[in-house]
Amino acid sequence: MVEVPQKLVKITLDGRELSVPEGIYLLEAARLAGIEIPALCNHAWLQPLGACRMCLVRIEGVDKLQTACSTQVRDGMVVITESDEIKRAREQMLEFHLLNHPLECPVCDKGGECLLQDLTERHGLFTSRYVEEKLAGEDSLLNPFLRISYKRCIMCQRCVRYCEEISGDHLAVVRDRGAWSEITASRSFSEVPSRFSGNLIELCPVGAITSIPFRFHGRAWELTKTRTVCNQCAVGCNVELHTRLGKLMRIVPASEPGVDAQLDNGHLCDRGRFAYGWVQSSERLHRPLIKRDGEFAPATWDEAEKLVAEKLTRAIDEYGGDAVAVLAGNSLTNEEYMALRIIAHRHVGTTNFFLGEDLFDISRYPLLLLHSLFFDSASLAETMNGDLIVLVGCDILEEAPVLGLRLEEAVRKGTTLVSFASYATESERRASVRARYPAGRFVDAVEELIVDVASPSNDGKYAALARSLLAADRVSLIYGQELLWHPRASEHVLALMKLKYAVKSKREAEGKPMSHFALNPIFRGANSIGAVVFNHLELLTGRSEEIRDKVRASMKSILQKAAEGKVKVLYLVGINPLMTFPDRKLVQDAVAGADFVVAQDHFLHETSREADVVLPTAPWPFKGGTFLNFEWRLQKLNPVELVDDTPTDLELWNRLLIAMRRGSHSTEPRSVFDEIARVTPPLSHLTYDSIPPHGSVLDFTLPPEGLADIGERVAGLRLEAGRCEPREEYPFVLLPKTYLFRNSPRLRCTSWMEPVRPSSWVQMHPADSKRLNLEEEQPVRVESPHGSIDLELRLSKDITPGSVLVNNYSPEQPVNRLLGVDDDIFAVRVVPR
Amino acid sequence: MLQETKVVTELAGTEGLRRLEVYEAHGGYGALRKALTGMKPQEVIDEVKRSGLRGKGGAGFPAGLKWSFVPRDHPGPKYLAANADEGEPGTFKDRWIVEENPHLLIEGSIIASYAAGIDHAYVYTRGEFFTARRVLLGAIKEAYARGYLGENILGSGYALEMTVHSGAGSYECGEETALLTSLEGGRGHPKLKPPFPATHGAWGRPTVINNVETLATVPSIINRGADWYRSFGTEKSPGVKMVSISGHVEKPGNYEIPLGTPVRMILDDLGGGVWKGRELKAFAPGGSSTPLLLPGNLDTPYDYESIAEAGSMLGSGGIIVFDETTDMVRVAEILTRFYAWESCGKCTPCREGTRWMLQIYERILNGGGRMEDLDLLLDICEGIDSKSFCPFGDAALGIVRSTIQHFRAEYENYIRKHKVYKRKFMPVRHH
Ligand SMILES: Cc1cc2nc3c(=O)[nH]c(=O)nc-3n(C[C@H](O)[C@H](O)[C@H](O)COP(=O)(O)O)c2cc1C
Ligand code: SF4
Ligand code: SF4
Ligand code: FES
Repeated sequence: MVEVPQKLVKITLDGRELSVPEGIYLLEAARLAGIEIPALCNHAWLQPLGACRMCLVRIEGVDKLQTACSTQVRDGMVVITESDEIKRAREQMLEFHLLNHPLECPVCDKGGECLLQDLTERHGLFTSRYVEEKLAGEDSLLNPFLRISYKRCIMCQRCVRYCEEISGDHLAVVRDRGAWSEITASRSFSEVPSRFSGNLIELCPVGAITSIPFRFHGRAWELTKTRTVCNQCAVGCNVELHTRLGKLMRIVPASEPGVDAQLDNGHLCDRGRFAYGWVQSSERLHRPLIKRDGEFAPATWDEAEKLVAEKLTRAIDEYGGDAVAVLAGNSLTNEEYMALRIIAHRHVGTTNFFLGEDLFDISRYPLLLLHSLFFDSASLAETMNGDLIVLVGCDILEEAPVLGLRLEEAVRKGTTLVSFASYATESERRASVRARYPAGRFVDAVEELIVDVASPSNDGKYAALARSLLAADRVSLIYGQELLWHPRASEHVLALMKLKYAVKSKREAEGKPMSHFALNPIFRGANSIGAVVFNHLELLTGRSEEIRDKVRASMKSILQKAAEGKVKVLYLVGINPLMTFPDRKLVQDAVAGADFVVAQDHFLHETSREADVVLPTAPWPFKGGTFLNFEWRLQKLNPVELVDDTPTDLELWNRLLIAMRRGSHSTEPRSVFDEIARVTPPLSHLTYDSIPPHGSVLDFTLPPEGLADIGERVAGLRLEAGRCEPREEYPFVLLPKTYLFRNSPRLRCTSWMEPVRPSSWVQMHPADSKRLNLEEEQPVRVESPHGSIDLELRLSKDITPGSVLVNNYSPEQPVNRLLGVDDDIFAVRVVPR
Repeated sequence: MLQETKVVTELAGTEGLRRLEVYEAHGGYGALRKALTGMKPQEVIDEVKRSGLRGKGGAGFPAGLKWSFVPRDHPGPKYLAANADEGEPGTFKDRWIVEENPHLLIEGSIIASYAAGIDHAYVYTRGEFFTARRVLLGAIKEAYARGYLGENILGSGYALEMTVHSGAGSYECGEETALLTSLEGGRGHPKLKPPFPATHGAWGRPTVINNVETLATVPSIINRGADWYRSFGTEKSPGVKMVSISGHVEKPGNYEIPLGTPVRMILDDLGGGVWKGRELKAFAPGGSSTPLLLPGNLDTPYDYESIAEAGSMLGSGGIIVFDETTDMVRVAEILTRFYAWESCGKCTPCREGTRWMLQIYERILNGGGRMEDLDLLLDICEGIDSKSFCPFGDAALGIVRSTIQHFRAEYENYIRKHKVYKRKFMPVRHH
């Protein structure tokens, strides 16, 4: 992180001389000096508005009182923040604010955390002179999560400004004027769902905007608060879990806006904030299930553990350790990954284990690929302070929403954003260059881009993009699901590495070596990075050469083995590959091919339903451990103080090992972590208890042994172009897109998420639909050589002709029915039904 | 007997004046030709500065000085906004200019734009000005056709576009920064200053905002020179001013007078005196936002300084006359309702305070007044005074304070006797 030297100016505040950074507002300057000026409409996220008039101060030489929130400091300024005149002004402003504010603090959700209440206690007069009738109006809904009380609103417009300046969704707007002004939703919810609306709850200084799921579930001071890390995407926002009466009542941000700006800066997305109802939903499993005659029946833990231990032991004894295969999802903790790795290696003796569900196949150039994953990333601070952010195949607001907001903040402060994708997204709204590559032909496009990088003045197809890449000294390239949720994901990453070194060497040739060029993948899971690390821990423990030529087990290879009948026990931990693996047939065959399938999960979902035994373990709120987010920030999860009736994964595994008489494993995340840290150099400075509240970005400064020549190696690698042209009978390239609101079990089992659950549609460009004589909303069938799904047609000019786009998580019409893990592109056709 | 001094209204009554040929036949666009072909932009600014022309929208800011704040070598577009919002009760002069002599406004706007280096001029018309808008659109079309607008005007190389933007009908949209927000397509809420419009105006670009009458005065100054303009008026308030006389007079209407003319002459000689032979009770000298003056102030010269000295403001030049029979509490209620209903709602003191005052007035007029209401009203005024976001808040106070100051007895009469004002209808604001 580069510190920009700040110019200081001298001001006098209530008689004290201060040196403060030039350009800051008086309110901040006072705060730096420990003087709290009351303020209502001002907020760290927002531009100053100057509307509430609470922050009036006297500036020497200026005839009127001035608002401290909107006045920038000037050298020599003399300011008074406490005087009779100012005290009186504050009383008057509070009196005005309270005129139409109902006296219902005792029943208001905000009671105890209300700014107006606090300010009234500190600065207000306690008698009201208002004898007229208060304005009355009914509450209304801003969206399915938010209720807005007309009466309580004090018109600070924080909500309106958030929707304008930050989320850009223009959800909350003002209607009418004067005292009759009213905050209202600008549109019906079905038109454009918002991704960040929940942030209006804390942003509203009073109880005007309240959470519908939380309403009347508890007063602020009655809740037990546990700080932990959100487990819904790669950002890992810091959250607080609020519990009461044995239940999870709400999730709120743990970071204070403007203060804890390392990662989320106090923003959460609506999925992270609201999709928690599943924890206490009736759909969640609490007892093991054993399938007998095709039907699940509840079983005792003893029964279930005995059965699983027996099956595992028999498979190992009869066929060897490799007869057991383990697949784990991408939101387990590092400690769980480590435990699985050790149990699989040492206790079971299988090489068939794969953690995370993000990289399906890494058989080409594994060492180079992993090198990029491990060593090419940048921290959020580096990215935000850099010159250029490049979004590639990534709809960041859908995939890692709060990261998307932070990047936009960087753009507002002067960083340039460019994007490279095969279709238009909202995430590009602040991009200065929006380059398009043909859907499915990313590798070819990068090769063309590299040519343009070599001679940027030739007017090549991607010259504008090439020029912005070459103009920047500190680049963060962020790539996402369009490239990663693909059988050719590793080829895509290799292509990006080639691009990186092409840009770097061009800059070096010009005598302007770059400071950094980071490549940050945005995977789907909350701990996908952890999964990558513990799959390939050799890279960190100094034995990277082991990876060099060995093709490791991959999700694909394990499923193939299972399908061939070579796996006797298939053990699935927190993973739903029938939905998430881009080849449904292969997963079905694998499940059918294994003699015995164990699913360790919270729900009966598409895959666990096919298992022979389902072992429900304690979900995320009840677990400790650590996650690694997209920037390799190691963050600690803390369990709530409630006791769940299910064991944690670590506890269950220990019990299984004991039942198998194959040793035991620690059940404590703390000791597992400390053991990991001891053997893993980049972690060796940390212990579980010393991980700071906001986590710690792991920094790998030393290139691993043997890869000093990485640049040459990358230059020499040959990309596989693949078969990119769709076949005649399947003329469209399918784009399966990852959305924030996808129909995953957590969303399905949270009742109030119903309105944001996506329906099943396929998007097509109007030019194509016209050619095919298809109409908006027409029922169509999408067919590929592998299968078909039935959807409704939507027309959109955001995608390019020749491609069609579908939501990649629709349980009723799973897109992976159309996909094969050996496909170079996803070729489909669309026919009317 | 006072005669009008016609500058802006010089061609008033000319048959077909809205049409370009007629305007040209009376020398129209001659000033434009003179400025664009014979003067450098800086020379235009200097001439207008020397004339002492002050803004006629209310604040009286020197026009030439305002234009000189626009950065010269700023890259990208710069804008002019001609303020034709004219929402101030008692003021109706701009509407006359736009409807009767649209080319004068267009000509003045082009000259001002040329002087300040503007690329695009907007005329922001009040939402209810349907005729004005139609007339102006026609006139602009004619001006384009004749080459007064568009590329390379009169071969000078100077280019200017002109667009009419109609507001949605809100008094606050006449305030210059609220006008800009509205012009940009937003709600008519004012913006923070600094930064000032001259450098960060519409869409963040340098922008000049001038009142219609101000711009309409410019061609005469170019034609006849600064000294000629200065020969009218006083040292500090040079030139002429349009006044809109309304209320209880025999001959209400628009007139144009040299600044410094005594109010009595304006009202008697031009306005025909108080109607029905009655006596004067009070008058607002510069629109509804200006504190009332009394018969004793009738000899005050009508210029910025003298009216200020008398305790009020010249404002936009709308003189509202109240005869001896007027119920001043009722007047205060009506105008307070106007301000409460027109407050944009952005800032707390104005939004809450104006409605609170309205509620108190309604209670008093319904027979429920209390003696302490008078102090309460003054206290509310003090809470709004100089503390609201834009000058609107202060504008709402003049009528309340000056009626309590001068006509306290009328209030007390209502309160003591629980007198009820007999309403023909009660305007209510539905929510
Ligand atoms: C509440 C309010 C309403 C206003 N309405 C108008 C208006 O309708 N027309 C106008 O020219 N100026 C109006 N003004 C004054 C403008 O803010 C601005 O000073 C003026 O347009 C500048 O032009 P000038 O310098 O030529 O007078 C208003 C000001 C306030 C505070
Ligand atoms: S709803 Fe809350 S945040 Fe929005 S304007 Fe009202 S008080 Fe402010
Ligand atoms: S004073 Fe405040 S509420 Fe009134 S018009 Fe100005 S900004 Fe709006
Ligand atoms: S905090 Fe300054 S005006 Fe609201």
